[in-house]
Amino acid sequence: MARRGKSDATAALPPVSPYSADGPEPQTITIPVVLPLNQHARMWMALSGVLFIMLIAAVVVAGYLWQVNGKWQAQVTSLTATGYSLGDRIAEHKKQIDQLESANSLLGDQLATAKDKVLALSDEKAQWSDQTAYAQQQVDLLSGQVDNAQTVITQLGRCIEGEKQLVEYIAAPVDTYPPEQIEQYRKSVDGLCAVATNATTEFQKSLTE
Amino acid sequence: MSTIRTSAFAGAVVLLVTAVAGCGILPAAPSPEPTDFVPSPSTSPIVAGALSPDGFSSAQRMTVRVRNIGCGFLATGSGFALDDHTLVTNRHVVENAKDIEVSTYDGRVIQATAASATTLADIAIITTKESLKTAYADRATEDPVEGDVVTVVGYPNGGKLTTTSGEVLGKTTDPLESAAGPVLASTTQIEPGSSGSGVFDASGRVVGVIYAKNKAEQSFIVPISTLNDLLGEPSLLVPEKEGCNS
Repeated sequence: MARRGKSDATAALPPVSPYSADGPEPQTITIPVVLPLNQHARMWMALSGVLFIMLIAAVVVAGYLWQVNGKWQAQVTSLTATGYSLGDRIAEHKKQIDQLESANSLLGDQLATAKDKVLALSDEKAQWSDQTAYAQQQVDLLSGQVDNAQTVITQLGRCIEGEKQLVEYIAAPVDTYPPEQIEQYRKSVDGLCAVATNATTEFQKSLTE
Repeated sequence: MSTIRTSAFAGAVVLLVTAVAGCGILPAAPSPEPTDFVPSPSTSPIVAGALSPDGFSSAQRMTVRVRNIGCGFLATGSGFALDDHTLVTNRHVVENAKDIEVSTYDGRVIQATAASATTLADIAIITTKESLKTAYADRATEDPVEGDVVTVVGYPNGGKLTTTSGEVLGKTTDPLESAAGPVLASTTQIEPGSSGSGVFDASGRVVGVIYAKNKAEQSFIVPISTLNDLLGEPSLLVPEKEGCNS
């Protein structure tokens, strides 16, 4: 015997024989059996309870997800605003950097020009100093030559004066000056003139150097 | 009857477990929004003195133009500052000097008070009473070697302050046969007036002193080791005669 479902459930009963043993063959009868009502209801109640719990859980989860979604959306909005703000700041800084780089390049050019100018002026000053030093050397040299020329002139003057005096001595009457003194004087004048001649030669030589 | 209860109980347990496990896969609320998007600046301020005060390099600022006012002649050379009152140049730059003046890169003229030289190398030391107020040489401890790139800063032909670069060719004997030790040859282009110029390596340290050139346009350098030895033995430096020899 097999169970077919709730509506046509059957149960096997022991054969009952209302007839005597020698009567006709007994016939088997199947009677449906229905389960007790309270057990069926309990199943439905249990199932309903489970579904109710699941519904409550789903509502709770949905509320939680709603809340979480709201928070994420708020944060995304905030982060987007922060991103734009940072982007604006970066753009502003980049603009400042570009301006500073441009100014820096200009200042670099100005510095290079100023450095070149400093070096040029320094060089110019050094050249002037060289010329001044050279001119001072020339002044010293000319001053020395003037001194030498003065010495030569003085010595030549003494020579000429001596020669003039010697001529007077020689032109004087014979007994005026002793011949020995005239001769001694002549030698002195010759010495003076020799010194003057040497000085003149040295001076001329110094002029040609 | 007991089978139904067991099934219902099992179902409830499964639901409970599923609900608890399901909570684990639910998205969490966002953490608090960070406020440190922009890090604090990490660059340290520029230390005073790290940069040139006027845009000129240290090598340019320490280099001076030497004017030898002799008896009937005027000669110029180059030199560089060791400290506030001491300069290095060549011996032949200050020979037979009646007066020695040095000009700085910015045009200041400073009178030298004394000069001393050595016969071991073409090196002379000039001292000044007035402060140079400029940069000072950082002397290397090792000589440059073949292939090293060097820079010479000086006053070629007594003109503007000039910077030229070249390569060290290696050690050689002094072509003028006046130096006791070896000297360095270099491809750096120099001119008369460059004598006494400092030779700088890539890091700005002094590695030698220019003193000569040959017809092949090679320049010759007194190596820094020689200069260091001389500065370590002041007795090797003899005061130069003042005034004119003749």
